Amino acid sequence: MSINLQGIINLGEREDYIRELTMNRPLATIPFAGRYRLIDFTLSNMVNSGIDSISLIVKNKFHSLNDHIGPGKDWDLDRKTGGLRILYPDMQPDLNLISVGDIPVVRSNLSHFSSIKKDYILLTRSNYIGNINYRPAFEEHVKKGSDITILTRHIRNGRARVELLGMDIVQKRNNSYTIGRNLGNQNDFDLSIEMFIMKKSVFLRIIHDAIEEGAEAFLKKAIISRLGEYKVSTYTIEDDILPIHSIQQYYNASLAILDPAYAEYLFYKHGKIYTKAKDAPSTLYAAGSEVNHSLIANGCVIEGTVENSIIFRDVHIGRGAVVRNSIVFQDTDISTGANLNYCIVDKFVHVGKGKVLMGDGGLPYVIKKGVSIR
Amino acid sequence: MIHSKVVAMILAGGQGSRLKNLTRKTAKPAVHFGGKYRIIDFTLSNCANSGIHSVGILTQYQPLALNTHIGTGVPWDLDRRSGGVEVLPPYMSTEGGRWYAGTANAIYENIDFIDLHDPEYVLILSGDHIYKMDYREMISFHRSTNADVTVSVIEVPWEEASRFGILNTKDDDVIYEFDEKPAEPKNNLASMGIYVFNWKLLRRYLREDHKNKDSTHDFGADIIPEILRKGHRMMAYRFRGYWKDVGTVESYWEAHMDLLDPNNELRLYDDDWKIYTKNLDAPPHYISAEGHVENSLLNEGCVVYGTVRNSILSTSSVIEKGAVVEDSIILPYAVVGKNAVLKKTIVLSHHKVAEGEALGSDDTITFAGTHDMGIL
Repeated sequence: MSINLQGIINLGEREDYIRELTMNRPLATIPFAGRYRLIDFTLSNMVNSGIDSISLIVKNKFHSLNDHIGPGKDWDLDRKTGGLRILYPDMQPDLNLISVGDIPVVRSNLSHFSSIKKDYILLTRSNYIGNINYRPAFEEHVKKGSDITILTRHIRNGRARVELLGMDIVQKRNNSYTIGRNLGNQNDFDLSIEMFIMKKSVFLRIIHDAIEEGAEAFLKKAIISRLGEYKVSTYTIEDDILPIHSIQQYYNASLAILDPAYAEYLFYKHGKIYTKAKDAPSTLYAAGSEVNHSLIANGCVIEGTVENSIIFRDVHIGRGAVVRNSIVFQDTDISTGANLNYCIVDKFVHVGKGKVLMGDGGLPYVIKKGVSIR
Repeated sequence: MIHSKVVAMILAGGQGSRLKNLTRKTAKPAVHFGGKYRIIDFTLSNCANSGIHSVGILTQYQPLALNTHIGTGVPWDLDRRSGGVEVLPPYMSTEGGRWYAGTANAIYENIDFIDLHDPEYVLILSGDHIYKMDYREMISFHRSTNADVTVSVIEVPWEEASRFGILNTKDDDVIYEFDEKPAEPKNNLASMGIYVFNWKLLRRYLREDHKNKDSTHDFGADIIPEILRKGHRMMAYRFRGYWKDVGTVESYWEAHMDLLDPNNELRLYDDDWKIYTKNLDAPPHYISAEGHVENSLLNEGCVVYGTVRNSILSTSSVIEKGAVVEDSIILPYAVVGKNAVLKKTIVLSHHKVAEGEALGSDDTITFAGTHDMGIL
């Protein structure tokens, strides 16, 4: 059953720490878990929670997004009413430049936001991996009569977790909430996962105020700086959610799926994760192949050795090739006798015969899209 | 009136009883195949890839799984504003209800459907063969040879010819005789059950055949011989490539083992002629640290903790710790319990092989499960 909640996914994310994978694509369409893109998780979670109307705020690199999402058919979002709506920025007519921040995209699409038929909105990012049911948080938000609910994850032993440095941390001071940066000083804290449930009227007022005052370029900043004006509460999500802002986080989150318990949670808990169908046949394991502790997508032909790795669709691993602790994107060819360890290999890469490529667990080596190593 | 030159009619109503447990509750064309497909996916994908967008599917026997699989034809891009795919079950009329009495009768009962498309040619197909074929080439052969009927044929070894419907031809591949399972074959060109007819001609013969009380209303036994008798031009179109009738448990199993050959003529990995099917939204498969897989085909959603050799694992099947699966076909959502040992076994969908169970032998193909509902 559909719920009175509009999904809004803001793709104006920072890409500074994951540039190697975002040359030709937004963060939202980085391949993940063998056959998905990051945004599949947020889209599927929304759909599985009963949200049937979703707006995407996009900033740039539309091609990859359009190619992947199309009219939203794979998520059942090709609807006559509601469904998927992609909100593009207006280009500067003379300079063909895109302005800084995501507020200009919001401004270009103000009429869309005003015409939302639901009474509540859920604002999220695309770069948090999890299998999330948004319903309990939404019900709590309505029950409490809050203006804004900040969705959080409770973190214990936070000082030891370097991967959470620089992420958003939620604090309560003098009865009002603040969201700032985690500098590693606190051990026990609430992490903001950049998900907010709001009354639509409140969301509209915030974006109108932000545009009129002209002080902020980013939607997130516009919300954070106005928290004091509204009735705010927090809701702790119990499900495990992995943020992906950097190559290191991406690598760790990818390998986390090799834990069958985590995979069972991520792929099935509150519903399946949907993605664009590619119609690849099953994967063929040739005699003499050796694959252990790995996640392998369809369409591959595996003749070599794969260990502790994630292999995307339509990859060929040649005879005698060894792939360990690595992530190999679709349509890549690892030739006979090649040896890869701690690598992230982007799409359409050719690794020639006997080539040796090594990264490190703390610093995986990224091979860019389309590169041919002969 | 919808105009398209070719209408394809897929015969999918047969019981396929020689597939035993696989077809007890499911029509043969809906039987799972190749780890991710159903048998009819090959014919439907061939239609889609050949640019044929008007397709009728004749159903009769246990159609539920087939109907839910085909739906509105989305996976094959056959959800069209005009044309598209239409499932055609038997129906009631003012003269009462009639089951389809034979392959030709099934087409006869749907003359109105074909007329609606006003085609020049009708392509008659079986929903139970595994092959990739560009029907456009056959139709252009039909046109360029000025044929009234064209039958697709495949060369079979002479010693096996008596198992097939054989077409006897003159030097220029003009057919003069149809020989059903001849004891002493005069030719080795076997009919693939694929026909191109000029619709006006077929329409006339279907109506005459319907009135003939002695007819079994079958294409091979009645329509083709009658058209030959009347002296129409019938051509044999030679197909080269992989083609397998998976009508028996043995041929079904063999066709699966063929898929394990990386140089298989079916060329499943050829991106230019994909086989489409309904997407089940399963994640990639996982092989655990102790799992072992060799010379096998694995589909999405599988989880392997045991050993798999020379086998096909379909969508979301699970091989538990210590289990050994050899020369077997595991259908979707089946589970092989801990330490179970399977040899040359077909495990039906959703079936669970109990912990420690030992099934199968080298000599014969064994089933685990009594009947496959075909529904996922």
